[in-house]
This record gives sequence, structure tokens and C-alpha cells, in this order.
Amino acid sequence: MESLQRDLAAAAAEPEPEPEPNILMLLRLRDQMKQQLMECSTAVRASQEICHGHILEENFTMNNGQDLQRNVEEAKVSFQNKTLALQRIQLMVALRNKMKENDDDSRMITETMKRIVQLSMAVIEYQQQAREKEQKLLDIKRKRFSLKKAGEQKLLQIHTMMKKQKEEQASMKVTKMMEKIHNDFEREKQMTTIIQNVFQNIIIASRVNWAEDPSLREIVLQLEKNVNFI
Amino acid sequence: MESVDGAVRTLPSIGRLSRGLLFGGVHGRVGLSPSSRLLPPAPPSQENVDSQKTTFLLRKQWTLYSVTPLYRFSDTHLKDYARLLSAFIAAEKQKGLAVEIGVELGIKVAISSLPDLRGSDRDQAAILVQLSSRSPASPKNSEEKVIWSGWFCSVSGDDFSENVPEDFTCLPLFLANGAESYTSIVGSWFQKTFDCCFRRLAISPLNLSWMAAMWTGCKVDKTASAMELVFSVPHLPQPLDISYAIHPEDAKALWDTVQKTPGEITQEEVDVFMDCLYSHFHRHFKIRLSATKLVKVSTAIASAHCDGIIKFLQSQYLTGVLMLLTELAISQIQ
Amino acid sequence: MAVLRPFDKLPALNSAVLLLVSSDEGLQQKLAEAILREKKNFKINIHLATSLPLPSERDHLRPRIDMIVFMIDIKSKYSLKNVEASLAYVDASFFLGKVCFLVTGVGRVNCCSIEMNAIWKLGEIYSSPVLFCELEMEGIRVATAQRLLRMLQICAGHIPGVSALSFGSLMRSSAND
Repeated sequence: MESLQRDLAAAAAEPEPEPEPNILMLLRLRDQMKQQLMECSTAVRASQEICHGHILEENFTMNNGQDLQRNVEEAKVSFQNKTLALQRIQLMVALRNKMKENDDDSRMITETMKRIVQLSMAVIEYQQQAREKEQKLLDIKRKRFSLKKAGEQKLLQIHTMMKKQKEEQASMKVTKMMEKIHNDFEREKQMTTIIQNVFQNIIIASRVNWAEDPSLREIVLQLEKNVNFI
Repeated sequence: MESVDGAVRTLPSIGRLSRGLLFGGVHGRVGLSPSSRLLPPAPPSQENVDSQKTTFLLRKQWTLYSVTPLYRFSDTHLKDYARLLSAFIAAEKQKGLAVEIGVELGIKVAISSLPDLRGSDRDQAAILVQLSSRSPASPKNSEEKVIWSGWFCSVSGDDFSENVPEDFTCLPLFLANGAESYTSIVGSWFQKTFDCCFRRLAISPLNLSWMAAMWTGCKVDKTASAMELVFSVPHLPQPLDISYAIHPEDAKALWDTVQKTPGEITQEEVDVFMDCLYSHFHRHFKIRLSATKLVKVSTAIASAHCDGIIKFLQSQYLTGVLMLLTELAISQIQ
Repeated sequence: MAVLRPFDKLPALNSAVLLLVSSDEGLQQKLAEAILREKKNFKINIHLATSLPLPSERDHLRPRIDMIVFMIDIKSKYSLKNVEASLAYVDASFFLGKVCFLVTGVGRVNCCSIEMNAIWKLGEIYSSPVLFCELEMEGIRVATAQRLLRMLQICAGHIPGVSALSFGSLMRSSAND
């Protein structure tokens, strides 16, 4: 795209001939230079901070934004409340003024107010009664609940006791059986010992040489075994 | 802004200073011009538009005016209005002499209503005023020649007419064809009787480029005439006019590539269309048309001049063109 | 250097430099003369250009530019395109109040070739003030010159306590709300 580029410097207009640099002008120049310095340093600082300040800035602005939003909300809410309160006050004042006039309207207003008061008192009474009844109901419910709990506990106790009894019975049976077996076992042991002794004595009394016959030797050695230590 | 007010009053009139869309704005945002317009619906079927009635509107040069709402105008008293108007005209013509209503007058006034020229049922029906005279030499029963005609109309001016109080009729667009003297006489009668105000409606180059874009896209069955744009170059010692003629098929092809959503045109599409035409011209002639002022657009549908002169060439798109003109008239009134 | 930067050169004492960019040289000249005729107590230097970038040969001779005014003529679409193309050659830090868009020719709305949306958008995107004026009228020309002069003083840092950064918020149009 060809574009005409002409950079003409228009004649730098000389203002009124430069006055002597008096104090005022010097002060003005000093202010100018201060301002220009401030602008330049701001620009420098801005360009330096751009790299790492970027993200921090974002967070900062977001937080600020949220705070400001909250403030705005609160301000709105409080304003609305104040408007409501103000309207209420205005209404009361208007009502009072109206009452002072004491004509038909105000009489109707007084009657309506009285009726309102009666009804509200009745409402309050009924509410009170309702509340008492509710309270009683609550108490009864609570008692029933605690009774139920007690009943449950007792049931649990009974249950555990019955279980224990059954266990004991079962174990007693077992012990009896064990005793019987033990007694039988003892008797058998004794009988076996007696029989062993009898056989031993028979073989010894027969004056047979039991060491020569292997089968006889086995029998005699077997008879030596003490049954109690098996 | 006070500065512009001052400008309105004191600038020498090479073309009058005009206050318009820039600082008027009821649209909320000052200086807003529509960024997109809906295309007029497809030309209605023939039975809706009685082509025989509206043929006389075609191929004539109409001068555009914008009219503020008329007070206490009713459709039923058209004959009375015609009588009063003819008396007024006769009085104006023979100022100073007494005139009786009912006597044979040289100029006859006919006011009728054209119910078909409207956009929707909420629009007011168009009102046609015709001045006809009999040439003094011909015999009594010969045809009367229409010497001047003008018509009020309002096409899709609903948003405007809704906000207007009772007793007011909204017909913001007025088109006149004929001698300027009759226009001023009829205009002043209407102004006096119905307390309205007539103002010449000028079309800015921006709106002309909208019209060029909108009308290029319309389908025409017969072989269309070429699309022509006329530019005037400012700041030259001798006035220079550049006329740029484009083959209608090419123009339509270009517009079809530019337009995206059928039925709606946006400002960007119009800009792109005009920029293509300008850059094509620049490539060949090295003249930047964007620095000149677009003064006239003529397509196969209609032709419009920036001084507020319009010529309809097709009856199908008549309502579409009228809709755009009504919009311009309304924005000038507001 | 093709791109204009605001703080790349040191300022001169008690002087300010204004750059006018416009495709219409006659109007530019008239405005420059009107500004020069105003009473002021500092040296002013007005540079005129039809578009940016400025030719780089004279770069070392050019002083620091304090404010750029882009002139858009409402009657010519070309001026808007010219300005849009030139904006690319201005550094982003210039748009902190040292750039201003001046829309001329607003007295003749019937000859308007530009849609106002484009101009408002331009002002918003570049967050710079948009001024409207009609330079063919003497009174308005003088008023615009005074306004620009005041803005130039602030941009050049001659007014202590007021910085060009505040232009963005102070000059926002109330129609935006």
C-alpha cells in the first residue's frame, strides 16, 4: 500500500518574545519538569513490572473486584433496608396526622386498628396455647422414647441371660460325658494292667524260654508296656 | 452539542447543513445507525400488489420529503379534503380574487387511498393526491392530464407509529412528482390543516451505499440494466463527476460472495462490497473513490440521488424500497 | 524506527510537540494555523503527516512527540481507512491518553459516508477520546484549537498534578451508560 508520507514541520511559532526568566517562570518550569519526571518514571516502572507483576496483578484485581462487588451488595442491601424503614416512618407519620383530623376516615381507621389489635391478641393467645400443647406433646414423646429405650435394654438383658444359660447347659452335658469316658478309660486301663500281669505270670510260671521264639519275645515285651504312660 | 447547533444556523448553504442521526438519537446510544437491516421479504405474489394501480408510480422521478405525524386526519373525509385543497389551490393561483367552491375550476384535485402500499396491517394506507387539469383549448369531455402527483406512505413504520398519541396519523414519507410550485402549495395546505411539517429528505452517501448493496442482491427476471454509481469529487476548482458502471451479473456475483445470512444484511457486508468496487476502480484508474462523495446510485430496481430524488423501476420490490425510505424519513423526524 | 514511542527521547524545556495525521491537507493546515494563533506561554511544534509511518531519515531530528491527533473526515471513507492503517505504527503505550481522534465535517450529516459505529468502536478499542468538530466554521475551529492545546499541555506534562492517563476516564461519553 503506497502511502503519502510527508512529514512537514510546521513553523514552530515563536510565542511572545521570551520574557526574562523570573522566579515565577522558573517555578513553573520546575513544576513542569517534576511532572514530566514523574510520568517518565511511571512509564519505566510500568515496563519493568510487566513480566512478573502480571499474574499478581490479575489476582489483585480479581480480589479487589470481589471486595468491591461485596461492598456494592452491602450498600444496596442497607440502602433498601433504610428505604423500607423510611417508608415505614413516613407511613406512621401520615397515619398519626390522619388520626389527628378525627373525621370519618380516622374513625374507620381507629376501629380497624382496634379490630386488628383484638385479632392480634386472640392470635397471640391461640399461639400460646398451641405452643403449650406442643410442649406437652414433646414431653410425652420424650417419655415414650425413654420407656422404649428401657424396654429394649431389658429385652437385651433377658436375651443375654438366656443365651448364657443355654451355654452352661451345653457345657455341663459335655463335662458329664467327659467324666464317664474318663471313668471307663480308667477301668479299661486297670483291667488291661491286670490282664498283662496275669499273662506275664503265666508265661514266667510256665518256665518257657521266651527269648528264643521271636513271636513270643514280641508278646512278652509288649506286655511290659505300661499302659498308664501311653 | 451547542457547537453543532451553531453550525446549523450559520454555515453558508452549499448544500444545507443538516443535523441528523449523529446527535439526535432516541436509540439510547448517541449516533447509532443500524448495524444490520432485514431484507424486505420476497416480492409478494401478484394478487397482493395490484400492479395496474401502482404502474403509474414507476419510471417517474419522485422527490422525497419527510412528514411529521398528521393531526386529525381521517381516511373517510378524502373527498372533503380534495374539495378544500382545490379551493386553496385556486385561491393561491388567483390571489386576491374571491372564489366560490363548486364553480368549475381549472385544476381538479383527487385524493384517494392506496391500500396495497403498506408493509403490515398496522401501517396506515398510502394516500395519493393528484392534480389534473384540462387544457383550456380541448373540449369539455376530453381526458384530464395529471400535472402533479404526490403520495404519503408508510411501510413498516410500526415502532414509530406506536409511540404517537391518539388522533395522529403517521405517514412519514412523502413523494412528489411535478412542478415545484404545486408541491409548495400542497405542502403548505397540509401543514396548515394538519399541523405537520415537511422537510426535504436527503440521503447520505452511507445510506446510498446501503441501497446499492441491498438492490444488487435482488433477483430481476428481465435483463437488468447496468448498475451505476456516480461520485462527485470535492475541493476541485471545476466540479468533477465520476460515473462507475458495473455489469449487473458481476455485481450480483460479487454481492453473493459477500453476503452470508440470507435475509439480513450487516454493515460489514456493505462495507466489504463497496470496498471491493472501490479497490477495483483504484487498481485501474489510481483514483480513490473512498475519498469522494457518492451522489447517485442506479440499479435495475430503482435509482436514488443524494438530494432526495428516487425513481422506481420495478413494481415487485416497491415495498422493499419504500420500507428503507420510510426508515430514513422516520430517522430524520426523530 | 517505524513505530512511534512516547518516551524514547528527552523532552525539551517548556515546549510541546503535536502530530496531526490526516488525509486532507487543507483542513490539517487550517487547524494547525488555528492552534498556532492561540495564546500560549510555551513553544509549540506541530508536525503534519498524511499517514504513518513517518519517514525514518529525519528520525534523529524529530523531537519527542507528546500527542498524536488523528483526523477523520466524516465525508470521506478513505480518511477512516488511512487512520486505521496508521494506527499500526503507534506503540501501545501511546494510547494511555496521548492519542486523540478528531472527527471533522460533522456539520453536514447528509454527506456522511462513515457509519458512527465504526468511530465509536475505534475510540473504545483504543480507549482514546473522540472529539467532534466542524472546521469550516471559525468559532468551532478556534474552540477545537483551544481544546487540543489544553490537551497537549497535559500530555506534555506541563500541568502538575494532571496526567494524560486520566483522559480515558474523564472523557468517557455519558451515552455509554
